[in-house]
Amino acid sequence: MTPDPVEGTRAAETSLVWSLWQATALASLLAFAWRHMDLLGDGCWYIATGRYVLAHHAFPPDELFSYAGVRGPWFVNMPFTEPFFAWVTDTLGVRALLLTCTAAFGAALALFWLPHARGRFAKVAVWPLVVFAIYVQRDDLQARSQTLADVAIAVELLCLFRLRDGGRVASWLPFVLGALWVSVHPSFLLGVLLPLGFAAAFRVAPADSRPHLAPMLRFAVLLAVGGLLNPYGYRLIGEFIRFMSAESTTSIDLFRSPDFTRPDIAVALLVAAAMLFECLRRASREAGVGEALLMLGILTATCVSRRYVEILAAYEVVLAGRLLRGLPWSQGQPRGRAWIPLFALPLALGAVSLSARKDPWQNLPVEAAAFIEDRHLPDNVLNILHWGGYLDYAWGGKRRIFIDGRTTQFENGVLADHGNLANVGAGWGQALDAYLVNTVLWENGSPLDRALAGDPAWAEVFRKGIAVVYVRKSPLR
Amino acid sequence: MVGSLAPTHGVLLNARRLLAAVAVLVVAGVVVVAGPDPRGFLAPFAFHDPGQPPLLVLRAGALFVALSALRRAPRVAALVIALFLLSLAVRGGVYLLLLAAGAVLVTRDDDSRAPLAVLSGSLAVAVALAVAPLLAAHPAPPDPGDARAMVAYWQGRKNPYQARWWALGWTREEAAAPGDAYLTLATLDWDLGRDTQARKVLAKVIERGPLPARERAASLQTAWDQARPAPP
Repeated sequence: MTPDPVEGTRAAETSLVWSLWQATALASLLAFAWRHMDLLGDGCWYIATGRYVLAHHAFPPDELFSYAGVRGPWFVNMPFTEPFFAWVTDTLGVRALLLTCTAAFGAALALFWLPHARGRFAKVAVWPLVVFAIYVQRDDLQARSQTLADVAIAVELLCLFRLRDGGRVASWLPFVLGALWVSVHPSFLLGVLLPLGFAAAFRVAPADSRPHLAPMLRFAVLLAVGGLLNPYGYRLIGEFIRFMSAESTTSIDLFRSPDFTRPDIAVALLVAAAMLFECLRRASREAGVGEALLMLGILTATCVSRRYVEILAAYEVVLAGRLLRGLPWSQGQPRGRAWIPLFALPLALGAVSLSARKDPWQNLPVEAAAFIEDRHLPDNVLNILHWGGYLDYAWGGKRRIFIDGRTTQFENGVLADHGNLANVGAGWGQALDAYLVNTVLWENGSPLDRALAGDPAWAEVFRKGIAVVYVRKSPLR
Repeated sequence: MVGSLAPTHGVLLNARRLLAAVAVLVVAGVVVVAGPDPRGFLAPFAFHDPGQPPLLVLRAGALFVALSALRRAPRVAALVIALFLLSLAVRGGVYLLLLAAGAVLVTRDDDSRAPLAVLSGSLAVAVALAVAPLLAAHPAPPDPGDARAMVAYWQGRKNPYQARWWALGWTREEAAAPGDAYLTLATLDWDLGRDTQARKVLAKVIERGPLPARERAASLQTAWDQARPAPP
């Protein structure tokens, strides 16, 4: 029986169109992520630290940037990321750094999406959820090591679900993953805990749908060994535990509960709860009690801290793909005019995303920092936390700052004093005296701005855009 | 038949129902002990607010257990999910969710062991989270009236600026005869790189301080001269 030439041509055309759609959809995701990828304080202090490491071929022996932070040996907790960020920025420019982080984030999204959603229908149906995953974390998306760690999480989830489906994973993979991950981001420990969580969740699942747990435990052990083989590894784990338990960590907005009245957060939680129910209801080999328990764990973590919203969104993408692939009617494929909206939506998203003008420095006090330097305004300078990283980058430690995003360096009461100053709480003026502050660089229109404007001891010398600068009329010496 | 994992039709008391009763008692206990929520029952949930961590675990446990028991009743499951979301947007809603989950547990049965494991696990974690703050010993902050203690406190926290600020207040107590307070202030200034100010403070001790303080000041000055000589 010879194949029908018309059917063969149609299949080839569909295949080409299908490949084009996947490329368009992926490109639109990258464009959307690029639109929201910001350069904020964290990325800047990575660059500043990395510059020191590259110049001295050593980690800093003492606090480099702050006059108020804890002195003494300073621990660099991302020994690859910081020099890498510095090298990319100084060699290729800051836009290249944003592009690198966008590409890493996009690669992670693709790994969460495409391999788990098998079949054309599943891939098309999950695409809006991937868009939503970017949207829900748009305010927190920035050039920092988390974007590189996202790739590690995506690879790990891929491996764990492969094991869950009875497949095999080469032993070297978790080993290498651990060695790289530990140098990239402190979430390495999460990488060790995730397979253990998988195993624990599936241990509770009914015996007939329970995968072999030994490979998952072996994955966790190999990942941990890979991380610990890095000569820095064991200290990184200690640092991560110290970071997670630090009082300062819980005072940062990102580590506190999200705003549950925000519609996008509510939708993310609603989708999670609905998927949890669907896993319990269908309890197939694709998604069952184990997956539901994992979703419950991530859902709970999200309620604790906003930083887990992105993992929740990523897991929703993975699970949606698995749930849809199990449906009998999901193996169909788009035909004819159905392609029009399928192409129109990603193209529109890409066009809107790329039409916005992108200024990497728009959220940073570039002019105010230059003004302070050019006018030789007196030390000490008081700055708001989320600009500290930029000041590290701009001043390179030659002029020291009050505080930046390395919060464990400021467990000595500086973070609490910063919060009190930001809120103009009781004794805020005393804090300015205690830290011998003579120059204040703060947010335009903030409570501290208003307080200093009404204080005769201070004079406003700069006000433009997002920043304002005050100088003490009679400097403390 | 307490502890049975068998189907529970017709059984008056089983492990799940017992745990449901314990859960209700625990929640009632938390409400009675903790009293009215200081931020009000209408505020959104916030994990780091006092007393909230156990209630989050109970929320998660209640959601899972109720959904497990409602696998064949999607409309009721949707109601439970809505209550879960409501309990996050309005924290007082947690009690409605727990009541609903309790009602589901009492009226519906499920032969999976997952809900039982989750329910007992949630209760254990919730109790641990509720008890942990009671066991954690927080060092009492020093009395702000005791400047000397405040200096020691801030030195212990490696914050020389705050320590210096309190040392400055402490020096007022020694204005007539500069001693320990002045020596401490001088040392802190020196550590902060304020050499000129440090030497000025030290000079006051050498000039007017009691003999033991003068001796210590002199040896400190010798050490400083060797480390960072004074400019001519």
